[in-house]
Amino acid sequence: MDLHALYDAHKDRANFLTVYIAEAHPEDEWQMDSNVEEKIVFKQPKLFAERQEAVKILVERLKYRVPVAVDGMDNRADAAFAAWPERIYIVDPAGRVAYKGGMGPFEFDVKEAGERLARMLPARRAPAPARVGG
Amino acid sequence: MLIVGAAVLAVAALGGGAYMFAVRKAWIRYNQYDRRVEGRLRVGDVAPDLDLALYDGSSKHLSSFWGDGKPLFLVFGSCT
Repeated sequence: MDLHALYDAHKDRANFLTVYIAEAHPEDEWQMDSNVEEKIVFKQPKLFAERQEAVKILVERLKYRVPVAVDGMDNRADAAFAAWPERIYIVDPAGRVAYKGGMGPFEFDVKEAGERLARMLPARRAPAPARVGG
Repeated sequence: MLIVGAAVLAVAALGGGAYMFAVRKAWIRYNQYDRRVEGRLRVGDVAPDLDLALYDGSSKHLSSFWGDGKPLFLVFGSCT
């Protein structure tokens, strides 16, 4: 299951947010061949405006549809959630951590997180049966 | 000779498996740019609340995403 499928399936019953954090494999640090092949090549943003430009690539070029926020240049969200390079959390309606995913990329598991989310959600109401006759 | 070869292969496989396990857990780092950490946040902890800039230019507290009775599915990542 990919993130978009999960988002589409549950966005009416759960809030979704992606926080853009420091790049994992920018060209001036730890570049990966796969990013070169996909022409996703740029330097680690040093300014907030550069992070916003990177998010623009994510949203407009990579067609990412889940709502996106941008971590500050102090990397406060990354630090608070030990998020780099990628990670999933689920926070329950009371504000407590209900699920902490493993460290990406090896343990970044959308399927596992999606199953945990599904267990937290109220069952959908079945549509009322159509009346026939009278 | 065959037994020695099998033993060498077994040791190599075990060593490789142990190495990859340590890499996955970030006990061993790939290089200077590998800064994965497990972090102290645990299931059941109060989630950190932060002020974040949204893509549309507005800003919101993270807590506003779980204050409406719905859970928050929170993803961290980047383009690369």
